[in-house]
Amino acid sequence: MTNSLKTWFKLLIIKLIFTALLIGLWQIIVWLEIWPIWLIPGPAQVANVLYRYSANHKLWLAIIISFRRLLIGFGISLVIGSVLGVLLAKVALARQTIGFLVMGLQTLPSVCWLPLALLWFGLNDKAIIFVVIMGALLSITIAVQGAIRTMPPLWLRVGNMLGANGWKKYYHIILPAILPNLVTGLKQSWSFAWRSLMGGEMLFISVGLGQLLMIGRELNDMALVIAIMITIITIGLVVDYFIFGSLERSLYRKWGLK
Amino acid sequence: MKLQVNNISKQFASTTGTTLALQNVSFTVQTGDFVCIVGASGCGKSSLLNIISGLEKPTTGDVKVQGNIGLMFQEAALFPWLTVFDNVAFGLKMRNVPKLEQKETVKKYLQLMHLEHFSQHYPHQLSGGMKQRVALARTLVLNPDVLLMDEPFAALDALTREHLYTELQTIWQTTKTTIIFVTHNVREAACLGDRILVFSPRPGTIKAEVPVNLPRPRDINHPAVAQISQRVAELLK
Repeated sequence: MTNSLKTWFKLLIIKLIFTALLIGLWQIIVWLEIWPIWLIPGPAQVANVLYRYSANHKLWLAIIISFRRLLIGFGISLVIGSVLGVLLAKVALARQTIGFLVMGLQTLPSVCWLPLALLWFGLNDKAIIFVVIMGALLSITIAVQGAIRTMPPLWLRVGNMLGANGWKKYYHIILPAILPNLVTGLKQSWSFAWRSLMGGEMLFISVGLGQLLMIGRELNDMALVIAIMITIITIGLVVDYFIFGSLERSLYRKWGLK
Repeated sequence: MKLQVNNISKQFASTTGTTLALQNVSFTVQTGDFVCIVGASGCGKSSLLNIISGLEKPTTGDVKVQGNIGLMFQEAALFPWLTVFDNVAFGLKMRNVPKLEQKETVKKYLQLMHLEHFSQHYPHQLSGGMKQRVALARTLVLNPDVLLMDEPFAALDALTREHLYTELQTIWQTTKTTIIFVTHNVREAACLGDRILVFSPRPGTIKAEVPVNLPRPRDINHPAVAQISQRVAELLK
């Protein structure tokens, strides 16, 4: 335990040093004054904006509102995508018909749904959530389908012999069997949802993080733009590492993978 | 009479035509029998087991079985997300057996397999031989009337295998389960079976039946076992 904690600490230090070096490089570029300060603001100005926006709660509000949309959209995608994924994995006719549609739609960038969503739902939350759903749905469907189709068929035979039939087969065998692959797939789906959300939020007054980014542009406030970009990246890293990453790590440890 | 195989044939259709995997296979297994089926790979042994277990339909003929069937494969196929205890308890759980009874039964079989100290381990922490023992325990807790074993020791090293031959014989003597054991290893068949059904390849038919009347538990290296396996090997040629 202490050993793994040590390694973890070491890796953290390496990452912190790297980040510090990046910020140092950034500061040097600013000092060289190659570009005007309003195009490349320094770390201090960006930190100042971050401080101001979190002190007046605008940043926290934006994060909460963005996350609310993301969770609703991703949650709906997860439910529909799981059903579709199971259907595609288990029913040949579904694979030949819906499967073809899913593959086609997967090539469509999710922001392309925005004009349609705006006409259907108007300038509101529903339109953004719709785009988030479309961003993650197909990727979740494909992840669930792939995970089911690559699971060893022997487990199903054993399960059948031991009496896992009907819903028991899904709950006690298929679900736990696909979990490691599924979590890896869902991590990607989550990043699709996150990108779709930012795209959707940038288009109109929506209060979320994407909107704050656009306000920065409209006010010609480059420090704000960079501050929000850093916030978005940080949130992405935190969710990736602490939610999906820790889930993945605990599953891998239990299964003895890697 | 526990299990009767009546005149079974099995044909497979492929792109190059049809293949006859099994032809006119008939035999009877009495309660408590330990029958070994020996044949080269591709003689339709696995196909026969699949037909007996109901997983495949024969082209002609039928199988009469009384009671429930347990299966064991070359791979242990344990569920990696469950501990040894939960793997063994799985079938009982599916049958909604009360928790306390589950615990008692699982404990009993883990002791029988000398696995009681590993009940909280996950499958990846076990050796190949231990995994197969867990797989055997998982099948035996359901108290099957017939146990079908499809080359269950083929993937193990020789030392582990020899150990398991003794254990399997002891377990068979305690539980009195009817066993049909498929293998391509003649020595293994001579060591374990009461009788050996010798299969010829393509199409698979029963070429001969060899009774083994030796005291148990038999040692695989015993000269009498070697002698019988010699005879079976001749028959296979």
